Amino acid sequence: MNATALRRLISTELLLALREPGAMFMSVILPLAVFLALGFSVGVIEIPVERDAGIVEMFHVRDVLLAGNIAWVTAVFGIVALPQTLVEFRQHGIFRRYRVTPMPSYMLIIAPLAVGAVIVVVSLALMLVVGWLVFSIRFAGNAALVALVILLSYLAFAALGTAVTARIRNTRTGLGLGLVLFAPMLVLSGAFGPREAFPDALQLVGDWLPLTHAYDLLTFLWLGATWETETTIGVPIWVSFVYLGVVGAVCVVASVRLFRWD
Amino acid sequence: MSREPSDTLAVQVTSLRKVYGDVLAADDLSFEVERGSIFCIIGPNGAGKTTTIECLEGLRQPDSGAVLVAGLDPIADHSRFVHKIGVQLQEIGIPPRMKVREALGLFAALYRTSLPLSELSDELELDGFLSKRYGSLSGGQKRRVNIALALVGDPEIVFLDEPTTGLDPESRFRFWEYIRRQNARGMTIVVTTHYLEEAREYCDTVLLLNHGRVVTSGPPERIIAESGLTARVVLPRAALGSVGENDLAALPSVVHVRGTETSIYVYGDGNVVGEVSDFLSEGGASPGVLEARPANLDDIYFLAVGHEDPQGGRV
Repeated sequence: MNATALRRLISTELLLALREPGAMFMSVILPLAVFLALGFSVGVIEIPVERDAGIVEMFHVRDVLLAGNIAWVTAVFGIVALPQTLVEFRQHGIFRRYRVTPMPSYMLIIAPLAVGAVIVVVSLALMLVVGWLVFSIRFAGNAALVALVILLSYLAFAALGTAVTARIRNTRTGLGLGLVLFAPMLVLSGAFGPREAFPDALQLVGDWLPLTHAYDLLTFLWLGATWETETTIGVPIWVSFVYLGVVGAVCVVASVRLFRWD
Repeated sequence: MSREPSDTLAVQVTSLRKVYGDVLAADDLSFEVERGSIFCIIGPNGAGKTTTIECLEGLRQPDSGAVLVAGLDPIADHSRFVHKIGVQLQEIGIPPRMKVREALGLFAALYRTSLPLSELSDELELDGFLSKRYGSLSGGQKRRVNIALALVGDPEIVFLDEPTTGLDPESRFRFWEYIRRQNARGMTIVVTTHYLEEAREYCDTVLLLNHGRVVTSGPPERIIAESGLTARVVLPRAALGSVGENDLAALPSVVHVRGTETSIYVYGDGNVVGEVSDFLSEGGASPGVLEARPANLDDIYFLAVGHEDPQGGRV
């Protein structure tokens, strides 16, 4: 197994991903469309952000739309797209086929993860450019920290999706399972509308969903929140960070234990 | 159980045993494949061909017994082993959206050495669909792509599981011509097939399996010579007249008689044609309708395996 082979595998997987219009739509076109649609409508609503010494800084909703979108883009990839690839590998005996080649099996997980990362970055870059050109969006956070949280949520959702479909051998079942998991998460996270509008019980469910934490983390950090800032869930922001990490770690362990190569 | 790796043997199997539930897929199998030979595993469906070849490929762990391929344990020495072999599985193994050219390029990149893609494409007739997606190919086209992927790394030993099933006669002929050329370059070929004439014509050694056991093995001519069979006689059942099947079986030259609704098959040594003919004449039957031909591998196969022909029909 050499670097050329891995590069070849990743580039081929990227080509295959580009041939999957559904996944491309969900992770690149849809977030951009949502960004523009919400940006032109509710985007002008002001958000006051309290700084130290009682100073209030004014932002607009459209400044943070991108951060919220990228949260659910990582979830789409981790819960829906990545499992589709892995289930397909299982269903069509592709894991098995590679086991009799010099390519180590784990590379078949690394490669689609790398491809997903490229797609998330492209989606993010596209929204940044459009947001800057169309809405002149502002960023008040720490870029490295935001990047770290994007990576954390990407890996946590990837682990979640892999664990849930660890034994699924049919892409239709895998897709169904992914969407059943993702759709309520998306709605209850607040990404498509304020959580306060939901009944208490649904808000409570939302409080435990990892996407809610990823969404809060990214939107709050985008606006320059500190670790102690309380989020919509009512916990300091560092709790969401730890929670996402724990969900990811538990799902990694579950994936390793449950995963079937064939 | 294990033995010393050999320089002249590509495959060494000793007392291989593999059980699925209460099915014995491999029951105390022992055989060897010489380096540089074409080795063919034949047998009916469920005989254990795929299980055996998958134990050689390291895809299945034997319950007991030892397997050495190129002197290596396929599972314990996996990382060295995979550089020496090429494999064609019966399953799909390639994402349906991947184009043929991409699959070939990707697999070529996995190995230290590779055969030229243009050569594979010419010899296995892939030219017409290199730009097509694997999922859109016909069964025979997929099979040829999978054969190309098994060969692309220019392996020391290639394992092909029913490579010619679903290929038309011209493609089968070209496949075997190409395989023989690779073999002449030194590649060891281990292949399973349902086509006995292929085994007879192209393979140095044949291993006949049934119910996970070795029925017989060796060069096809030697198997036939050692079987005691020389000829097969076929006559319409109607030609028997008053003569019974059992009467034929009692003739000294006859090894086996098999009757179907329409025909009687008589297997025997060098005298069988004359004896059967005389016997029928004496019994008042008409020996003029006898059909005789020299015994071949099919006869050994049918006598050993029972009453199904390799395509699953009845003879």
